Amino acid sequence: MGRHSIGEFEHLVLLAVLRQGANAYGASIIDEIEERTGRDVSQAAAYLTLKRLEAKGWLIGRQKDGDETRGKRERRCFDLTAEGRQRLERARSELASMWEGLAPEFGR
Amino acid sequence: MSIPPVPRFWAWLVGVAAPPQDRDALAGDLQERFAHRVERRGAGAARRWYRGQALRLVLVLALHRLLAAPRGLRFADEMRFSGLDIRLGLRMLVKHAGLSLVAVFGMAIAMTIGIISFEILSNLLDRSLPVEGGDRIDLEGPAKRIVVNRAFVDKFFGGRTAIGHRIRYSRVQRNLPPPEPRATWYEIVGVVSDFPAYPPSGLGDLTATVYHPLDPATVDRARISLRVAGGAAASSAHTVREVATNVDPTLKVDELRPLEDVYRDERFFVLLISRAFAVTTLSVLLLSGAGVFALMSFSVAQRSREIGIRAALGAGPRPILIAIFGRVTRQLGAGAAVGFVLGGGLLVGSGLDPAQTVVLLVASPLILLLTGFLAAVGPARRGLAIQPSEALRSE
Repeated sequence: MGRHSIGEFEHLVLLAVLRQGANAYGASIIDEIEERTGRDVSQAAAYLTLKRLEAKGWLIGRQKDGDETRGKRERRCFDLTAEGRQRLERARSELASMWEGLAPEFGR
Repeated sequence: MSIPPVPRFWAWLVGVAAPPQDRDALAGDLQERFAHRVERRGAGAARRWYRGQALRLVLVLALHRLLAAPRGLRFADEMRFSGLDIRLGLRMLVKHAGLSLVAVFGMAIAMTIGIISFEILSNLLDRSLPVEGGDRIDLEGPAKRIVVNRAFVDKFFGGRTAIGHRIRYSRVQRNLPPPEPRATWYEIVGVVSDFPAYPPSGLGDLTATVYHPLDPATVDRARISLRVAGGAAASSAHTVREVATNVDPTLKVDELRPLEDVYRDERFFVLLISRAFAVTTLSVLLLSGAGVFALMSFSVAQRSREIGIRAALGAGPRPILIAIFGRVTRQLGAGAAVGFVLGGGLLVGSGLDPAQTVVLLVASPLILLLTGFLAAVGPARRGLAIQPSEALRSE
């Protein structure tokens, strides 16, 4: 896996951020993935993945004020960078190419 | 619906483990998800979920910081031997060669003395019986009969049946019955419970012992140990004399004393030596601790400028403490390694039980490392109290 490859969970996190727009943050990203995939997502996995995507330059984070639900603690919101969008688009086309002719019943 | 508070201990643990810049966001996310869980699944399930999430988060954060942190003032770098560490270490060795050598060899000498004293004490107190091939059976020649105690069976037969086996002594012992003890085979005909031996061997009473039949023709005096039900009383002496007179009117019984008095007298010298060794070892440990304490005070004072700059650059107390203790670990570890090799070399072929050898080789460095760490706590706290401005002013 090279520096610019996307892991499966990274893919899900990037898509969750893309769906939620500029206000995506840790808890909302996890909820989005859990609701859509039925997986249990741990806070630790989400935190490390967000940090890694930020370090790769695919996400950009900024602090926002929190509300009562979270004890007034600030949120760290994430948005896709241009590079992140580009990488996501490339991943989609790679996957679509691999799936071409196979969907929906995995037949040839 | 009111939301109960999150488990306080686990929330605190997350706060401690999380990097300062992400602490609020992480705690807030967990609290928000906890609130959703309470609404959907109830408070009990939500608390269990929170504990699980917090535990995983703390473990992952610790591992992440240890293994994958980028270079900088991070945990992984502080605890890793890098080329820079070695160069800095060598520079410190050259700059303060005397002090470093004293620290390293002080540890080594302390460990060696500790191990030697344990060895001498052990050899003094734990002499094994000179029995060789105790489990061999010789069907030829007459065998004399003996009785052994439970400790003997445990030691030479591994707890298996000993009755019917024959043994012989591999070297002459002062109190063996004549003649030619090494050529004589003795058949074990009975096993008795452990009973205090005379003369006492070591500090314990579980000494492997062989009992020979007494031949009145060859013995003009004997010591007999008696166990009296309910403990020895003044009337016991009268009863013993009465029994002896009934057996043989010419038998003279004197020096009737409680066994514990006899033992106390016999063990006085051994206890004195063992206490002397204990005091010596403790003194060496204390001296070693004092040496490490002085070294660390000096080392932290030398690094006050570096500590101040780190603090000014935003390093928290934890990375600074890790840096201080990381160096302590390396210095003490070097001393412990040298002492381990020296002590191990001395113990090879010493006749000590392998399990005892391992315990000694592991316990001694652990005690000294613990002493070193305790000694470093004070200087470390003082190091943290140094103000950046004060440190930048110092030479």
